[in-house]
Amino acid sequence: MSALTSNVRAWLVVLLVLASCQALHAETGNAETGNADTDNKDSKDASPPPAPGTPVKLITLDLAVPDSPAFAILGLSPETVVRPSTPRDLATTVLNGVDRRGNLQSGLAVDFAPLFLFAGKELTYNNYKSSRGTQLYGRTQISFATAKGATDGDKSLRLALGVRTTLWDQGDPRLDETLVTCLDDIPIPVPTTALLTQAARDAWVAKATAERRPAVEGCHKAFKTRAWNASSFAVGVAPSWQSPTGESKDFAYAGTAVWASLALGLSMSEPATSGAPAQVHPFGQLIVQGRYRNKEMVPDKNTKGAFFDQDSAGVGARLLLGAADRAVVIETQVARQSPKTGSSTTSVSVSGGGQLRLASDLWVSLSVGATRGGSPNEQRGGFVLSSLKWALSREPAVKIP
Amino acid sequence: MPTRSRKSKQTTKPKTTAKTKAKAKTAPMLVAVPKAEAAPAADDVPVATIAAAGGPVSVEIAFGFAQHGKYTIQLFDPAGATELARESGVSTDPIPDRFTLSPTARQLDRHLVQWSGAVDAFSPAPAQQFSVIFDVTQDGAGVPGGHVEKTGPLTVTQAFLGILRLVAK
Repeated sequence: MSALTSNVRAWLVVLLVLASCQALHAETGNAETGNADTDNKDSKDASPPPAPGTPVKLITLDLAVPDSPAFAILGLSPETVVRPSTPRDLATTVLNGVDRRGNLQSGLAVDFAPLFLFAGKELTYNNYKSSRGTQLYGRTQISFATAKGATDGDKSLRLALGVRTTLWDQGDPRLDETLVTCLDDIPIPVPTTALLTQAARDAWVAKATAERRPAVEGCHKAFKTRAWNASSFAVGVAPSWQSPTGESKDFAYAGTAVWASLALGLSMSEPATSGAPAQVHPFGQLIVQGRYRNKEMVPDKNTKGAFFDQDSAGVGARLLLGAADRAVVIETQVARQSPKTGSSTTSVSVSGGGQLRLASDLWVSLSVGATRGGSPNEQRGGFVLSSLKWALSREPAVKIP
Repeated sequence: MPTRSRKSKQTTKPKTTAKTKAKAKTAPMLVAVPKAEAAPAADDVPVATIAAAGGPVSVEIAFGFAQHGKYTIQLFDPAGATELARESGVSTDPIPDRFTLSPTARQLDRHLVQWSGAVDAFSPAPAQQFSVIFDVTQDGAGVPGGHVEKTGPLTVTQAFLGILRLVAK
């Protein structure tokens, strides 16, 4: 504790107070909401926070276009994602995912950037920098995933293909002159004699790599501090198919998800003075996201094992103010669900919170949120406080790129 | 050593600097080449075969995956003890990373070309790759044994070092 700064100590005191409040919150059955209609989720929120090290997602909206849209539409967080580094690796992965009868097997999760996979070896920095088309292609990601039915009796196999691209990216590190200069300026030792044996060459390579690493990491860190809130516009699309029998011949279209996310960096500029270049101080980011999903199979709450078709759409926004290591976050989302049978519903949610990095791998995050509307069973008269959460974790609640 | 956008160097051991790229393009560097001697027996240096009666020999280095590369190319005597010429550069400037060796092919017999440096990732993102491709050409065409590729996964940074013995036949 003696090593902690007074700032950190103050935050720990705040945490202890919050922990006490949360214990009280649990004992009184969410008395502060004054709402007897509190659902199970609320009760879950009152449970003690996860141990440090467990990833925590306090702020519920995910406003980025998923890195792997195919995984997102299937609701997967695959443990083993194959990221092939050569076309041969890709072919091997796909071939291994097909059984002797030619049917796809479940559990495939492949994610790759086609430019770097198929043409990366010959792609020079200047090829990339000089062509907007190449940059766009380089920022395009393809994902492919299969998943088995959710229950033992369910033989269905789901398959999705995802494409994600960043159409506009002010935070492309390859195009950041300051980062390029930083890397250019790192010195590297030069052998004074020819290294005539493989052992001597290997030793030189190992030593030079180890010596250079901290300086390169320093350049990366400086770039992140400077450009964490960079503006960008990304889109993603993921069509999916489902085979009720698990056989390839029975695959039928099962809907598509589309995402679009616009991020705008908020910065203050300090004009250049004599001898000093202009300074830009990032202080926040505004993100607006739209998403649409059709033909989603949703479990029917009233009939066990039954599903119904639903289309859904949503618009969300997040305002993040602060810095890469401490920020206040306000989020809102309007979502509309349109089941094939029954009436459509609209829900509005608002949440606010903050996150602070206490140490290199220790974050404290807290949030408070409210929701109105939703499905008829959850209909409420007005905005209600649905959760007051805090946690310590290795990762921030809102990941900053 | 080079014909690139850089000035001629008359010394046998020029100073290294990436910034030399900005200098004006001039004639190839003249290198005092000692008489070819027998190479030490205990080495495992690969050989690139050049035509003794052929034209000028060039070397080129390229970095793939649009990564940041920083390099030095050195020309050594056959024993590898005396550095005769050196050029350095980075992959991120618009100047081609190609050099023409000023000695004739016959003079270059058994001499060593060594390239070293590092490839840096532009971000700490996972699953990145690097490639360093080194080519020896003569009269505009690749020479036998003169194409060397090094590829692999890239985490933050990766140093590299390659070497070839030029044998004139």
